[in-house]
Amino acid sequence: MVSLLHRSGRRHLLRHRWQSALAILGITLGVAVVLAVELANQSARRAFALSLEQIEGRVSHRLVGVGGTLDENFYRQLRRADGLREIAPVIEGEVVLHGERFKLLGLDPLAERPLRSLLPKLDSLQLRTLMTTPDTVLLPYASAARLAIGTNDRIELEIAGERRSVTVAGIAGDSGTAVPDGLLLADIASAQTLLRMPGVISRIELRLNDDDVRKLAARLPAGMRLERAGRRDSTSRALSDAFQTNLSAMSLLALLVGAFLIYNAMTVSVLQRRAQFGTLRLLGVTRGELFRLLLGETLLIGAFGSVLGLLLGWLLAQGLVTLVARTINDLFFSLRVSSLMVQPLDLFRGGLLGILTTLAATLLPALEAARSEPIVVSRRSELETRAHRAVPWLALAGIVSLLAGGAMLVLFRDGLLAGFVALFLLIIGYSLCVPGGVLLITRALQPLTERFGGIGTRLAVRGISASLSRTGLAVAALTLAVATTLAMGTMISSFRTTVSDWLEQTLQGDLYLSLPERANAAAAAQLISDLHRLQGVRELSMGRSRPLELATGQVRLLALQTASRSHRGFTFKGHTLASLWPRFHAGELLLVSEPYAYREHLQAGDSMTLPTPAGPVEFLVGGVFHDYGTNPGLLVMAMSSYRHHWRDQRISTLGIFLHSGQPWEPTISAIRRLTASFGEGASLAANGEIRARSLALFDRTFTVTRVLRLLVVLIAFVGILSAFMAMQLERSREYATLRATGLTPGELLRLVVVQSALLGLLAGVLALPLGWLMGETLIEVINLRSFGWTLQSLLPLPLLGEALLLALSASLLAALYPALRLSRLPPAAAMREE
Amino acid sequence: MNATASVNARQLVRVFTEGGAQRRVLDRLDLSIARGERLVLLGRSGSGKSTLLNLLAGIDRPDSGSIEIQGVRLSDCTERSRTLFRRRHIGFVYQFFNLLPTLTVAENIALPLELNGIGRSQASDLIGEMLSLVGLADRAAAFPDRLSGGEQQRVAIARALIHRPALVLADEPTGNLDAETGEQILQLLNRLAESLGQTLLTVTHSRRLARSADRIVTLEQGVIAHESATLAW
Repeated sequence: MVSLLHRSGRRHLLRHRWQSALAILGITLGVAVVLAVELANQSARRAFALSLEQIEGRVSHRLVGVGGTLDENFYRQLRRADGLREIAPVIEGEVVLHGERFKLLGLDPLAERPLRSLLPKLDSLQLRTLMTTPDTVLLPYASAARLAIGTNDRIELEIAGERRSVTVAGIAGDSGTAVPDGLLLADIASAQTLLRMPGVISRIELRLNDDDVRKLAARLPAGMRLERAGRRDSTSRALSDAFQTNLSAMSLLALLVGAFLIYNAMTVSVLQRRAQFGTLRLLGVTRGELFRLLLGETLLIGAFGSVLGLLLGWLLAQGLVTLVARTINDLFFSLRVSSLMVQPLDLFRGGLLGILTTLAATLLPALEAARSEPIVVSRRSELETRAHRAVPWLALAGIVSLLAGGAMLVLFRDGLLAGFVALFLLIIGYSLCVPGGVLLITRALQPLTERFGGIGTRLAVRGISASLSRTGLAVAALTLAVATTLAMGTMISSFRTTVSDWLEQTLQGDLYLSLPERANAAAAAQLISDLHRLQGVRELSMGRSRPLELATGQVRLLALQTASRSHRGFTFKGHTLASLWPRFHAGELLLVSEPYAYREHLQAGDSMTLPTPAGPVEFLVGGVFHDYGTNPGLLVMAMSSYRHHWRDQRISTLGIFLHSGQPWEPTISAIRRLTASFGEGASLAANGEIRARSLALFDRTFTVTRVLRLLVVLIAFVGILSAFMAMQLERSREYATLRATGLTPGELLRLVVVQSALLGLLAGVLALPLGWLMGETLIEVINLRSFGWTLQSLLPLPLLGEALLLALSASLLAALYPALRLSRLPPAAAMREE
Repeated sequence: MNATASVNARQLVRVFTEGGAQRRVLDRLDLSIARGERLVLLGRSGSGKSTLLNLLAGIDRPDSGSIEIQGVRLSDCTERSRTLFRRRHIGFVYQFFNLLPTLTVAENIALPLELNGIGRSQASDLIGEMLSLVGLADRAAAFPDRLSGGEQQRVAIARALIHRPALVLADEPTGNLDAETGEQILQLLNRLAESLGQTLLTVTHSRRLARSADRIVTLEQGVIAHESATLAW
């Protein structure tokens, strides 16, 4: 291709530098968002994989107790009597250090060596200190460096609500040998003391061959299970993956918005030069050459925007990785990502995605340009005639796409990918119908403006349908951008309202008292009896919560002795069995949380076998209740049934119902006095406090989604600005003709502003149904398929107002520059301009 | 067909459909133009002049009939072949100049040379020579929007002739200019085409401008109504 054509293209971009800069900014932001999310997700995944690799080492199997713990004597027996050598005990618990969640791993330094290298080569003094001095821990190099903690420092840990002071016996690893950040390592005896788990361990880790596995499995006592290493965290990992898939999809949605807006900008750029392209074709430039010329130009813009996007994405990822890791940490499992892991392939993929998206967005306009005939007369009217003729076909294609999306949602009831494909089909389908909508609405408005409007308003409304080739596309792009921000806002708002309502419903008690795990049954029984005697206390509910190992992964089992109001705390999905509560209290029925039921395809009437210390027991599922907690699964049974099967009389929480109309303070003081003997581990919180804490956690976990939404808003704003400004600038000559014909600068200003405002308003209004549709799909399909949550569908009024405001403000701002410029420029000069 | 002719058009028919009705713009038209001949096509608006020009330039195809230029049967060529033929053998001058606003005067003139793969040094000499011939040597670096209408048309003429095309087509080249400038432009176009031995077909509806032609053909409703060596009326 000749250099003069390229030079001409480059000069066009430079002459329209605002337009070019905004197009580049659109690509930059799109690529940045996708790359940042990808880098954050990859870093979290790699940190998780690295941590798992190091924690699991050469471990092939794990021996776990169905009740969550094992007697430590069983480990001794396996080692001594059965002669298994590659075997190590592990005790695991969560602790808080400097406000961060850490995983405390209690290990046997001597038994560990054949299985993994988590414990570094300590000198004999350090090893002796770790093994013989209580309350000593090792801190990974990354955590120590980050928190500025050194050997022999005393640090404060919060363990199950209690504060414990421990000494750092040494630093595990160095900058070269990474022990995962977010771990605290201790000798098994120290960990048992710190976690208040005397005589028990969390699991036994083993390296077994097939023969050993068969032998061990054959003589395993009841209440224990041998499982392959790595399987245990699969549920949490699946949920975390779903969360990350959602983030990736949202970032792709951001890119789609960007791509649509680039498509619009490039179409306008082609329209601007249609006369030039006609001239080039007359001079003998072939269609292929013209097509390649445009793609070359786009490649330049795409490459430039993508490179900037990679830089911005990398910067953005630094912040986003912390948010993603924090959300995973809050919701799914302990995870610390100390640094952003950037692989050249990620950057390559991000850059390629930006360039390909830009090229794809330019493909149609470039083909349109290449198809242009080298005849310069009457092209404008032909173009508009073609655009009007295309409207019914576009609408038809749109309806087909909408129906296909709807059918996918109905036919493929499972699967996240099918959900996202359906969502994208709905978006494309609706967008194709937008030009038709624009035409219908403006035609309906025309009689009104003809009767009541001034010349500016009349011309503005007529111009919208007369220039449908540009206005239809610009409104479609704007509609999608606004709808996306509305949908994301709706999803977040629906989620928050659902969780808030759920918390209000669930927390029926006035006060909640958590007892430490070590609290014995007799002390708890005494406390309950004392509480009953307190004057302000009307009623109590009791709960015992513990982990339960199922073949499908770990869940939480909650045994409940309900108060009269407690039943209101449960809202059920679908039908429940008849005489639910009497049969529940009789120990017949089990209640299952919605996420678990969705994942395991359970419903009321199904049976479920639970491993109890006395062997497997079958329960009937009485109902599936809504649960928005962080557990991958929650099973609720009657306290009497639990005590019967598990032989465990302990209590974890007490719900305290107070007499209404009486001051709370004296009762709270009395309760605090009664629980003083339980130490720091007992915590009392009012209903409102728990709600506020939970909502604060919710808000924290949704920060990353909010950040993404803000980025989409930004992309939408920049895109709208660029699309509308390009559209208005493209009409400079037309406006100049109007000025020359006698339109005053004020009238022209009004025309441009009214038309832009009207287009913005049209897009804002058309975005509302699409935003609602996308929001509903995100809520009803994507969230349900990702996490098993049913959420209330809300479309809050402030969000609708925000969407309209976004559309209006961006379109008005976009009109301002061309309108002012044109109204100030003498018509002759404007007509001479390109 | 006339073997010595530069252009041979036979039985050309072009029909346009407008709002369901068919309008026959060219009706079995025959036209031959000799090599180096300067022909002026006269006629009222809608007589079919521009349509004939578009067909000869290969940017439109006849519904029936044939066109042969320089021995190449253009009506049988593919779109791409017609484009490449146009690039090499045809120069075009338009009423509205149609210069590329993003290229300077020299670059606009250089474009056909580049499209035809002529090297920079040779191109540079040719451009310099052509700029002098059209009297714009001092405006080489200017962009088109800084030139007067006459100057822009001179650039368009330079661009149409620089690659020595066999056939130069001019569609109302003076229609956008005042009478005096139009006269100068036409003289320039005729003089240059003659000196370079190029066949020149000029479309106009101005009888005054037809005086310099070797032959004048008048179109009426898609057929040749008059043909003469000079204006006889």
